[in-house]
Amino acid sequence: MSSLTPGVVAPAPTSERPARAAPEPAAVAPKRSAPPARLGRVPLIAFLAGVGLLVCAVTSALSRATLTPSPMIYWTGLLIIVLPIIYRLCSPKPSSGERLTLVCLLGMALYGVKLARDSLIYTFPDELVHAFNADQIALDHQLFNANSVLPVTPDYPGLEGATSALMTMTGMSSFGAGIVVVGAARLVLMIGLFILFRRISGSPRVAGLGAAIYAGNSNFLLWGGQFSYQSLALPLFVLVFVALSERDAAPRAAAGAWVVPIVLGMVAVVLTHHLTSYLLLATILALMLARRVAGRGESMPALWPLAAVAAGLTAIWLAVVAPGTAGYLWSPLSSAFTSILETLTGQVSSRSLFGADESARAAGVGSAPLAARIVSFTSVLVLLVALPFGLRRVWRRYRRQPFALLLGAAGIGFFGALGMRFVSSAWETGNRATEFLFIGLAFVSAFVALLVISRFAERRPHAAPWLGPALVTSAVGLVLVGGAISGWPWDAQLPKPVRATVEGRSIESEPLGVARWATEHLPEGSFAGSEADARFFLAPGGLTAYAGKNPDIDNILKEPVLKSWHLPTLRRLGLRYVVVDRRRRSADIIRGYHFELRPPAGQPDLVLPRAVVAKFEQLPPAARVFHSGRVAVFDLEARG
Amino acid sequence: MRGHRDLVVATATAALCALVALIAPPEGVRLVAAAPLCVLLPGYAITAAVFAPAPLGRSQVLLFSVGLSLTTLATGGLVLHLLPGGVRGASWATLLFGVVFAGCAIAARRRPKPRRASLPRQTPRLRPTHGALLLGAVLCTIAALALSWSPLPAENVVGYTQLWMLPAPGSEGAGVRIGVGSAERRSLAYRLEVRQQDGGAPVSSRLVLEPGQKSVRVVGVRGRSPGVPVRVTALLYREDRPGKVYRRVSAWVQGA
Repeated sequence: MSSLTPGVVAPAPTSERPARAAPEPAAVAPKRSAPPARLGRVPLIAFLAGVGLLVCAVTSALSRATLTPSPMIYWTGLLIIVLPIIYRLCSPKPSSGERLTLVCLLGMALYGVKLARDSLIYTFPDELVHAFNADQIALDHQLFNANSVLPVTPDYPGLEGATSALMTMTGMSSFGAGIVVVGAARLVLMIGLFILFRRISGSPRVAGLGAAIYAGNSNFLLWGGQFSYQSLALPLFVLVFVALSERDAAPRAAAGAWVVPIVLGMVAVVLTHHLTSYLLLATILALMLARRVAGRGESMPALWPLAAVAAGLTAIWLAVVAPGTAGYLWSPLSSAFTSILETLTGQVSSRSLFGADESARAAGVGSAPLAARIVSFTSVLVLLVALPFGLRRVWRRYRRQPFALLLGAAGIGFFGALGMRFVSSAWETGNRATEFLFIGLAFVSAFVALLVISRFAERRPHAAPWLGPALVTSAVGLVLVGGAISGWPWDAQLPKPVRATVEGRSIESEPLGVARWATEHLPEGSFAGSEADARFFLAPGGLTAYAGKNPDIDNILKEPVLKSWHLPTLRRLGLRYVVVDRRRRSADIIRGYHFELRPPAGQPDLVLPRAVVAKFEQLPPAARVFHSGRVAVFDLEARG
Repeated sequence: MRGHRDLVVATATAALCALVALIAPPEGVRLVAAAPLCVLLPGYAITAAVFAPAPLGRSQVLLFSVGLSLTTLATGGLVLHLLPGGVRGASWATLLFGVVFAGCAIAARRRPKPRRASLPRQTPRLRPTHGALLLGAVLCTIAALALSWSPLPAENVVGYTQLWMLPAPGSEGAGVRIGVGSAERRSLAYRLEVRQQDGGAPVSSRLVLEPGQKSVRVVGVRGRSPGVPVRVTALLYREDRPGKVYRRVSAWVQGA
């Protein structure tokens, strides 16, 4: 206490002054001269991120070695990565450069966690499909090759075309090249979110926290890091919106230049992913509306020409190159809509969150443990509670900013899309939508984080200055872990072995083994198989394989007797070979790839009755040409 | 491009990367060369060209360098698909170098005056402790990836054995190729029995396979009438379970 005249309150020393949120300047054009670069806490935090990544990798390795490590070790590794970054971002001290570096570190470290699950082979369902497309481009030197499992994917060759550049120049596999391309896309996403939020808010601190909070969306850790077209399309979507926001902020004379990256980005999005291109157009239209609400329509460069370009590109691509997209999307979207109505009117019961769905039951998996559900629900609750406070902040300070209004609306829309998870046929549609809408929620939540820090300091001036940031860090860490839990089945968070070494030699799981065999001995064959088997036949098999319900290969394989339409369907599709997999989890596109496990690492596989195999034995011209226990391959034209 | 050091460096690097990516023998070296050519340089050149009169801040340059490189890759595949020659390494290298060269040339023309460099001049000061921490981070990352990409012993996986049989192609007489592959968790001894539909004594043989080991053999088939298909069946028994058929396959073979 300083010695002053009684009654006069001495100003508190700097360290004890209530931490106030940094003043939020109006959006300004970026400075031309960069401040002196400083590392700040980056080296220490990078080291901790490396340690966290190693902990996650060790846990994944122990899981692949069937040693059943506790998932708590894995989550601890994630928290070691995440918490120091969030804590540092809460501080007012870091420079803008340091904040950007930390945001990139967070995004890339979590991408490393996803890579550490893979063992030099793709095992995510969409990865196998897109890897096949990339392999075919590298082989045939052309785009638009057919894909029997997801026929629409070759019509959007942006990701695979990009990957083919590295593959054809270096001879790399689609696995290695895909890691580089998706890694670069992840970097674009993190930098793009930071710059976008900084442009709108004028605050690097808000930008850093917002971009970091975005990592808490349920698809960020695993789904969004897979080799799939949305993993490239979403970052390009963000790139376009960064360019739009920069264009709005630029002097009129310089605004025209921004049209180039905007249009280039639009073209790339249209070539890469159907839904993202439609969302891009919808978001531009929503931005036009937001400008009207903000009363800024006249003072900013016109958006309608860009909307017209987006609409034209999308329509042309849909009509000329990818007409099958309409049928592909119509089924799940119409089912989602119908299912929502039925659930709302009580005709069907709502979907059980974290309950075992049909695939999980087929794999013998139960529901997620109670603790995991509590964490996941709490993370959503934190975001829901934060939303109104963040919206109020955004409305008070940024209601003249169209982008801010748009992001606020997206934050509200997130919870609407989240509700779709309670509807059986709509949960996937809702899941995909939340990845985009979370951008708005992350932006809004960043303001709440700073509000909590400043209010905590104001109301507890004698408390340690780190308590407020620690509280926010804990909440954001909870959001990240809760998002990761809800984004992937609990039992599949840690990988299971697809390959293993025994007595110094390498062996592969049964579905991978049959795919390798077919590639070597029946390279020209066409196969009918279960969902998981068919995907391995695509990649790394490089073969034609049909699966699923359209055509209904699933029924052909699971029925104990041959129905009158089974063989004609197979003949019509030109499928000479049938891969009959008695493992029930072979129909599960997430769990169907690994070895059968013995306790305590897992439970014996649930199997289909022997009749599903025997029915093909009874066909005179057919022959069982391959048998590995659970899997048999029949040649339906063996007799000729 | 004289006087624009960054543009000269970008163009020269792109040329070097393109050459090395195409001709260097080790794949790792080719990747090191191809990566910047694919995911950095084209976007940098486009950004430099578009924003020549009013350069962007460093973070924006980084974002659009990588981002517009990805857009170039996504779109470039379609361009190459439409051109003669198709999507090949040489055409990719040519296209990407062409984008870099054109972008840098346009940037050089549009920039107001020659600049020494637009690349960041100031690098962070690296204290020994910072260096050690960053090195530690890199080593942890390398260790993590090396561990994740190494197949590991897995005690609790359930092993299996493959048995397959296909008509032997191009053999003088009729025959079948029979393969046995072990993905078991220990060495196993088997008895393989091959039977023909029209009777005759089965052909039996013994084999021992280590985990991961495979065996392929050709067995001749004699039919009663030439050109009439003969059904051949192969049965695999484990010597530790001699009474139970472990695997069974069959094939139709044209009689010799």
